Amino acid sequence: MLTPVELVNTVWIGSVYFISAAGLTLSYRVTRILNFAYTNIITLGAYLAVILTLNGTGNLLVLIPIVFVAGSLLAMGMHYFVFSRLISLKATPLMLMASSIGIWIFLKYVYYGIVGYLQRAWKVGLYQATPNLNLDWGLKAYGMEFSGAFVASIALAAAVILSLYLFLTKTKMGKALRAVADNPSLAEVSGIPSDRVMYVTWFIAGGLASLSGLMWALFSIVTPEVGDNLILEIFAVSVIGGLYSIPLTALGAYVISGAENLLMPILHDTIGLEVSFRPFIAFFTLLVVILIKPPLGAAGALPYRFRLRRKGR
Amino acid sequence: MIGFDVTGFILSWLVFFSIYSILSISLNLETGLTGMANFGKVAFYALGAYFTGYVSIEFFLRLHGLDYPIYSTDAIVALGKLSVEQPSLNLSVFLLTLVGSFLFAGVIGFLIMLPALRVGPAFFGITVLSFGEMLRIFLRHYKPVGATYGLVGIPHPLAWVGGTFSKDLGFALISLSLLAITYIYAQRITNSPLGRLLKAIRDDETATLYLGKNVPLVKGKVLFIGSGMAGVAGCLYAYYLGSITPNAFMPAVTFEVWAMMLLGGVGNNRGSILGAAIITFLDRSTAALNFLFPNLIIDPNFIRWMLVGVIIVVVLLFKPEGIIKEEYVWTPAWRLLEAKAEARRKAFKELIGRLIKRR
Amino acid sequence: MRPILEVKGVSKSFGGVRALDKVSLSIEKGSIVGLIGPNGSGKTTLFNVISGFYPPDEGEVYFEGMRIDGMNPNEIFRLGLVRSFQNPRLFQTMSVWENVLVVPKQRGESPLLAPFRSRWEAEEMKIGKRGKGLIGVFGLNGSERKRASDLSGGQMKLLESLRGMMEGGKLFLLDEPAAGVAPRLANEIFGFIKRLREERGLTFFIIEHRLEILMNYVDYVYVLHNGRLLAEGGPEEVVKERKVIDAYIGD
Ligand SMILES: Nc1ncnc2c1ncn2[C@@H]1O[C@H](COP(=O)(O)OP(=O)(O)OP(=O)(O)O)[C@@H](O)[C@H]1O
Ligand SMILES: [Mg+2]
Repeated sequence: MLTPVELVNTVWIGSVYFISAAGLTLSYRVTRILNFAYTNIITLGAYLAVILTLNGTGNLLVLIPIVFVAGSLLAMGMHYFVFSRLISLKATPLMLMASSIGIWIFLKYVYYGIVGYLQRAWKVGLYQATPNLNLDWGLKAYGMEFSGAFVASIALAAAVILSLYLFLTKTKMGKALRAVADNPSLAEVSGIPSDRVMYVTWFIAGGLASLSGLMWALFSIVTPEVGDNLILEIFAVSVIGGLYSIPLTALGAYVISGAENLLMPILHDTIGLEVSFRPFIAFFTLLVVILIKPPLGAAGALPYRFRLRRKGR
Repeated sequence: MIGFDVTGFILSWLVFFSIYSILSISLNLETGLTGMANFGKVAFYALGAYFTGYVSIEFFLRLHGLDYPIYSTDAIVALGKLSVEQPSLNLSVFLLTLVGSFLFAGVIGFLIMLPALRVGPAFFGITVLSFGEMLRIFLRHYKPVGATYGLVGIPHPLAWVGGTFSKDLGFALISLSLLAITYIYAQRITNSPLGRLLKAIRDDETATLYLGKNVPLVKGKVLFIGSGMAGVAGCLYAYYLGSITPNAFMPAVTFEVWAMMLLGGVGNNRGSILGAAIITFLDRSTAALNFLFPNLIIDPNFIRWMLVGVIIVVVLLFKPEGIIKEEYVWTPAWRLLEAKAEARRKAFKELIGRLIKRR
Repeated sequence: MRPILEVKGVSKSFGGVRALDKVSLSIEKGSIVGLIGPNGSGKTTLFNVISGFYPPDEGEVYFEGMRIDGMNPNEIFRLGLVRSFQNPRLFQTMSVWENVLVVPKQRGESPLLAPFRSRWEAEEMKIGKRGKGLIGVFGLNGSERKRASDLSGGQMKLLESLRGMMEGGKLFLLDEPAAGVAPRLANEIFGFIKRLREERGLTFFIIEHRLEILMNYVDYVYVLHNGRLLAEGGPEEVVKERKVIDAYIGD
């Protein structure tokens, strides 16, 4: 059954995917580090939304900057304490990736520890929680009623994308970021210290991740693994965008979200596919994209093409 | 300390030490030597375990003409009875599943090479990691292998041996000998032209391709062997615990193996074993801690996983080469250099001798 | 006789940049041919297309009469076409000695034979003897135990060329083999190339910016400019051509 609920979910979850994948793409392109601990930042944003609104008087407009900055600080902290040091030790990309995995698993269980502790100390259920925001209002249009959370998340997504676009195209720093992304060695010449470019990138990427966690929390349940549960979709979306193009990333986000929220119920009704197999959509998309049309440049891919028959005569 | 069984602790540690050493040797083969970011090791471990569990249970039940569903109480009771009756059946099923899980996990590992054919290491890491998670989700919802309940009542190969101690000792010995075989094989190929080729691929796969090596095929073979080894580890795990659930195969397990490899030292097999010994010991100790102090404020499991994360980051930052440093690939051809150095040393000695005489 | 290498109307673009534009050339067996041109003129890209790094957008490449465009680099190497890179791509964590030994295809590379030393030892020794000889020729004796990353820039270039010669190549594409090498050693390398050509009939296609050295050794020169073939001919004629001088000065 196709209902407006599913359409709303498509748009909302698609926006979560888009914003988080945009941050991941940006950070990967500029820093060349595939940061698996990115998911921890999403979780952080979601939990901050829950914890800061425990008394039920949450104002979204206050929450947004706090959540953004917290995510930024976490991402910049990762860079300061781990990545920048590893880079100066000339670590290989593989080892940088491994270090982000170390951060990931560490933070995940730190979250579990903290959440468990707070739950006992405050005597509120936190392992599965939702934020208490004043979003009970609704908006009527075209004969449909949109919930406050939906309107807020759409507005938030639009605002984020617009400001990201303006930043990347109109400011000096944004242009420097793009220059580094396109050609790291050339950017050295442009006179902007690459260290500052790195921190600015993590500032933005961390903020985006954290905001996407907040957006998730507007609609759904928060657990210490929210970010981890999204990782597959975010990676799939980023790979559709080639970890390169932001507009393609947007397309990928809404396509995957659409497939999950619109196609899945249909498959369930017609061939009885279990809804819990939902993540397979993202996974198979990922596989197909990688096999058929590998992302541009694919970050050091081997110049090898698989052929069944030998060309030549 | 009442009720804490020291021999039991040691025997169980020995089994886990063997299982994790096999895993970390296999990871070292793929990642440490060949440079492939295998973030999905746990998937092949799970494949081995599920293959073993499913095939052995099916074998025992169907061979005796029972058609209980695989996770029913009847089946579990029947398996308990059947597994102590015919030692030869237990052992032959053990051998069958051992070889089977190697091949099963190995072939799937080989196929994982296909997506990596055209993309760089980052994408390969993403794909394998996702593959592991997909497999876990699949196992959780696939009824024929017990879905969330997993497989219960896997017939232990030594179930017929009287007494827990001799049974556990026997199994520890089996595990240790499989570890020995794995280690000897890995050590020998590390110090062979193959080991050299793998390190070349790790250092610069494009240049290796330009030297006429079929890099994707070599990687596929390595993934076959590495995944097969992980499958064997999974087989041991399934028999040792007697029951498996999908949640035993969280991504965190992969990273625990990564921590072992990094801590011991990337690119050498002794390091992998040392890392596995240290971390499984900590791991078993936290389990013992759990047993001794059931009311700890923070779940010891959380501490264990946090420790894994800390070890990975700290080792990379402060001792990237690990405890045991990687060495060159020592093959007979090095002797050609010895001979030369030897000759030069001799000539030098003679020269000195002559100079001294002249005085 | 058919030329050993024929490039027919090859083009290659990157986004908007047309790095190669309908380039055609041919190389005779047993010759030493130079490829020159200002920075960014597409020389490395041409090598990349010939050696299988990228398939060309259009055009064909023939090696000993066999069409090789679209083949993979390892297959092209097996046919006897060897290349080196502008920035040496050595196996950095390995010793110089291993860098040399790793090249030839050997039985010990099979996962089934590798554990049994007796099955591959003799073959490896033979490879080692050949490697030792070449190390002597390239003046790298005494550095065998060094890590490749500890070599000087010039030594790295040498090691890379050496590696390419470990196994039966017929045509060598060398991308600036003498960059960062002292002039005397550079002359030695080119002298060695010349000797190899004379003794074994090998063919060389060489990119080199140091024209004063290159011109003494080549039989024929191709000049690329903005992805197009600007001029070709014997070394003396080419450097005198007006448009070649303009291209270099305009750069
Ligand atoms: N992978 C690539 N992606 C995009 N553009 C590229 C790529 N490779 C080369 N180019 C472009 O193609 C053109 C030719 O480059 P190429 O490296 O072949 O020049 P070259 O003649 O070897 O220069 P140099 O003398 O500096 O080595 C340049 O404009 C370069 O920027
Ligand atoms: Mg060049």
